[in-house]
Amino acid sequence: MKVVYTSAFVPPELIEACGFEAHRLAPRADPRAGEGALYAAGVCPFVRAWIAQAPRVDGAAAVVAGSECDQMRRGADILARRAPLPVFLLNVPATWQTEAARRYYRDELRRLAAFLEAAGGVFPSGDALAARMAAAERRRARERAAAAEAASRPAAGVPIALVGGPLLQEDAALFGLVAACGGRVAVNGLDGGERTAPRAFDPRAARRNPIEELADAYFDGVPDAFRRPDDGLHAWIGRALARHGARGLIMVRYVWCDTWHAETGRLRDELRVPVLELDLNDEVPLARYATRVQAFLEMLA
Amino acid sequence: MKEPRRNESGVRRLSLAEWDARYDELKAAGMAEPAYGGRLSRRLACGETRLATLKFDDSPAALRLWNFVLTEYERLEEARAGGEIIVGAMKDLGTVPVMAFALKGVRAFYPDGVWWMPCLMQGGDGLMETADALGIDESFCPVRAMLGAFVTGSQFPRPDLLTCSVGAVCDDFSAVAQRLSGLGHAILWWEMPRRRRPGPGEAAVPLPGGIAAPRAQVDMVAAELERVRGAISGAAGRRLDDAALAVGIRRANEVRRLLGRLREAAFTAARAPLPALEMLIAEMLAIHFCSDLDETRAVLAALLKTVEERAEAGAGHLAPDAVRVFWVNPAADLRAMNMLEDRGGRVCGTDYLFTHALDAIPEEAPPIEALARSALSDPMAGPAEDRAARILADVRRFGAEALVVSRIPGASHCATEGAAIREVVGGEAGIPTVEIEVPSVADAAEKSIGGRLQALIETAREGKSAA
Ligand code: SF4
Ligand code: SF4
Repeated sequence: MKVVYTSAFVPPELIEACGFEAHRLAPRADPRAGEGALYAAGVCPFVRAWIAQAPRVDGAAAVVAGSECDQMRRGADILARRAPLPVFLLNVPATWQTEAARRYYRDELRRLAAFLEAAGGVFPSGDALAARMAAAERRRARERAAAAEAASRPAAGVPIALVGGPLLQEDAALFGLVAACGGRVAVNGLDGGERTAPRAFDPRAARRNPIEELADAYFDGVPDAFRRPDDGLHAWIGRALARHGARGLIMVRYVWCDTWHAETGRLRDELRVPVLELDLNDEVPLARYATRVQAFLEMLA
Repeated sequence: MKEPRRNESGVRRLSLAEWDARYDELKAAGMAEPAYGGRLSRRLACGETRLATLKFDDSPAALRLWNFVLTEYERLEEARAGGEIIVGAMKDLGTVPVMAFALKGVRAFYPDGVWWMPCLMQGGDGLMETADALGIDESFCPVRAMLGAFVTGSQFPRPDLLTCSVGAVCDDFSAVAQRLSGLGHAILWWEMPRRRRPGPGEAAVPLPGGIAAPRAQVDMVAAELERVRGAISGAAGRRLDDAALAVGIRRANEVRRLLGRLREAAFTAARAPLPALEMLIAEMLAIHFCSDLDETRAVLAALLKTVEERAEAGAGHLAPDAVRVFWVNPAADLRAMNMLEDRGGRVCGTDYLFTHALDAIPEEAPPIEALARSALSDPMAGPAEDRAARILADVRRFGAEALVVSRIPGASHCATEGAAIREVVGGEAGIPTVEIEVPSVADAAEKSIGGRLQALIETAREGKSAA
């Protein structure tokens, strides 16, 4: 049985330790074809598609949304009213500088575990969670090593960074579009890319108190645009650009996404490399952005 | 000049020019005014040209209200010059100001209130253009004007302390405030968790407004407000202790009770004793007391007296059978309230996004906990169903016959919330509903907005006569 989620602050390790398969859903575009509030003007296309498709995933036993943005919070309300499955909204504090915020997030993960138990899973034992964390850590270590190895090889294309939130399935073709226009994604700062990986788990802390270590690794490790202040995101971008020699940055955001849209101005103020903003829209095919991406990469070449 | 038309009850709505004549009349009759008083038309010289398109209530109490609101930033400058500490309380509708005003010599204001400046100045303030240049374009709600105001320094004094509630707030404000922070304005961010219903067996705390939250959430907000308390104490150079806070809460509650009486009297009178526009402005005072708590009390008391006298005499605006309308969300263009009345609708019940600031703060609880409970009852912190349930209860209480959801351009919550509210209220109360989008200057959209309001009023009238 699957638990469907998308937020980078929902640890898949916890879902698995509760006895479910963690299914991170990248939905297909769902332009304004349906009825009801989700199809009103002003709704983020990702929220619209995710809320509509999450409960329809084959084998889904529950849906877990994150509270990072107003649109997703309100989408989760709609889902909770309609969905035939249990829905959980994980409350992720926007602030990060206080012990109270950290404690709150830890308690939210405990509440999530209790919810998953009620949805037909088990409340995870410390050992079960620690084992999942160790396995995830090994997998991420392998991925990091492979990425480092790939980065050390000479590669064609202008190195750029992609930064932004989650992508609809169709928009994953952006990576190919960048390559086709003579670029190379050297930094993946989108949801699901290296920006949203938690910091490495401390094995001793994970054995001693796995849920706290899990919470801290995500809480401290994932820089995001919704955090207040969002300095962690800008620091991460600065480091990533320098490390990979990215010559430009493409801010990828959906129309009506205030959270990521507002970052562009600051990035333009502060970065030494050019910034292109792509406001993706589920009603506009990705190919329509090709000219702008092409021009941007030509300017960087 | 032509004498404005009085209805048979003797009450008039006046244009700005007509108010000049009325002003002379009142002055000649010996009307006393506070220091911020004067002719409303003098504000045109400040660029507040939208006033020339509005219709105003003709009472001295309404004049005082307008003058009080329109001079806020000048009064703030004077307070600053007098050595007072200024706290800018952002995105916080009615919590931090209560704390700030509890310390003598500290004054809070609501920078988000500059929201209405592009309307008042009909865009002549250039605030939106400044926000545009910083990447905050028209896909954000009109609150982006605040960014322009901070950057240009053209509206209010730079606060000594700037706080901002984040977490379960709209994306627009959170993003705009972050852009401001990125430009070097120091902000104390305090967390407002997304309010949820207490789980089975979970310790619960009752909140104002008849809802409840888990104890853990109340404790979280209380911890955050302790940080705010520390920051206010730090800025003021003396401790904001519980005794002072308790007094501050009592004073805030006096304002809230006055406003409660005003709403009750205005919304239940046989005919509208005060127009929708003045009621909207009066309600806004609850959030931050327009930078002067004592004067807010005096302004509201004067309005209440006028309303009670008119209600007693059966005097008021509009016809006695005007359609009773419940209005949801503040309209970005103040003229929208006139538009409704021009079409025979009378506002009888409102939810301007801060109904929690109308409820009394619990006085029996320790002060910080009491404020935390009040803050958590913010309709924007919880699900749309909670907000809709309160609206439904008020629709029934005030006998509203139609519902207007006024959509705020670009607002993250408006995308889905209007439909949820209309579904619940329209379905349960069986009244017609409409959603309109009101931009900061709605002249170009007046025909379509007016048409939709007209259709709503006519539908409600038909329902009335069928019943
Ligand atoms: S893209 Fe923006 S609005 Fe959409 S879910 Fe992500 S953060 Fe929210
Ligand atoms: S989006 Fe709504 S709640 Fe947020 S600042 Fe704008 S009007 Fe206020």
